Amino acid sequence: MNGRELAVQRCRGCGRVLYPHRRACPNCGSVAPEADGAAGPGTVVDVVTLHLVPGRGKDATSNHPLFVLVLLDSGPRVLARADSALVRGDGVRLVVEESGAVVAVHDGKRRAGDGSPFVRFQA
Amino acid sequence: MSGGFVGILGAAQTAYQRRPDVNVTTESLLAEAVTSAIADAGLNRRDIDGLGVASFTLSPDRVIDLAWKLGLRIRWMIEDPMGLTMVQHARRAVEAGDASHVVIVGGDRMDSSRFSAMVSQYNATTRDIVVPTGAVGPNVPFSFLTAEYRRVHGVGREAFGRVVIHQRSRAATHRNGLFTEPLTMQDYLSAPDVTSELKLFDCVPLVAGANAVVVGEVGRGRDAKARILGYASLFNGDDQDGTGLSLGLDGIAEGIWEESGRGAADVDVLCLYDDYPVIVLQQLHELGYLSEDGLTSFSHSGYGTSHPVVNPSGGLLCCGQAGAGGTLHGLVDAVEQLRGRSGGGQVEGAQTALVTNYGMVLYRYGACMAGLLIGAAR
Repeated sequence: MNGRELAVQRCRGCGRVLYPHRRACPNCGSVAPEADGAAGPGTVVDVVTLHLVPGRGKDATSNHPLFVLVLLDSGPRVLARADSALVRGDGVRLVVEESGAVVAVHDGKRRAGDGSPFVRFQA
Repeated sequence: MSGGFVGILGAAQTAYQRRPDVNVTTESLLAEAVTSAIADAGLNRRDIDGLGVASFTLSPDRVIDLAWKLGLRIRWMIEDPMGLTMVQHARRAVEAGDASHVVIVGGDRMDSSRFSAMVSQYNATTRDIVVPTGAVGPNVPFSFLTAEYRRVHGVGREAFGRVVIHQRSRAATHRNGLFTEPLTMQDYLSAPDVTSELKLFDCVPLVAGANAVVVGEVGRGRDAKARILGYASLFNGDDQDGTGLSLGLDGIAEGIWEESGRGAADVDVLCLYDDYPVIVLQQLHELGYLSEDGLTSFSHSGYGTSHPVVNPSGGLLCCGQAGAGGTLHGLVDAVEQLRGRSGGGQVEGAQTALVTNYGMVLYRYGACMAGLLIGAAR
């Protein structure tokens, strides 16, 4: 999987990690969050398959793209496209393609939970 | 203002059209709703000195362009995608004497191509980091909310199906009902999947249409169609850092009850913003109408048969969403209910209605929540 690792912000004032990027930290109000921290690992907390695409009527997509909600170990939740058949509890890293798409790539680990639909994760 | 109170003086809703004629434009829809609402208020355009507009497709025109084309000479104006927010601003403007009679209108000629263009450019965050993934539009983010709701409350898809089935039964009595054929749970569950969490009937159909109300001082020959009893709102309540399931309506409701001196038990009609069934259910939770036990009962025994009646028009899910005009659909419906003019869909004895707006997805879920409590004028 080619691409750069997703960048997040880390607030210089309180250390809170932010994604998507902000102009000020919502926690402490610092207006200078550092902008180049790496997102680091995360865990898939939900998986959604897209069957119909807006604006294309009832034409089903051919490959049913998979989207995941990823809870980063550092705190933020990130919406990403999955590059493979991920399930809840899969460990992932997040990369940004040249197109700007954020893509979740399985890191081969089961970082939290077992994929049970009732597993809860704490930020 | 000279000691009276501010109320809703008039209300109007255009016909909703799934496939509008070529001569129907956003401007023509807004103009029709404004003209009808002024007439309903017993006013003429010279009485109007304030205008507020909610529209995604009026661009490049703005509220002043619409005022010009309608021949309105105004001293107060506003633009906002949420109708209820503008109603509250108009209320305060009238109380302060900055305006006397304000029309708040919302509407769009919305179709699939305009909708696709709008959601692709909804905001910079969506454009830059969501759309490139291929998750265009709100269905993917609201699928995550739906999944979260199912986990938190331990319910299946039937819980959402009951919302749709109830609202469809109500839409059959509404003049703008779009999906009116009776729906069974089997019909709901066997409908095409939009996503792995959403069925076709969980998503609002796009329509062309508009809604408008006139806000002004009651008295001096101006009859209220409804009284404004309370309002509260919350914007960007959690910085998009949560799961999105908490809408903030519980805190908003406290503010509304405090201002109005009413409580949840006093409400006869609930016009809850219903862009997806999960948002209806979550609002019912936060308003205290559904406890955990209540949810179980609700999910398995029925919907809408008890007090208060939820979305008596069928809501956006079954009448369609006329773009930003959807944020005034519930208010116009609520005013009609309180006037006793809802025909076969009339909630008997309706005296108090709570209307909500929810939306403006910043990243993964809506960031704006507002509630308005209105009461019968009679």
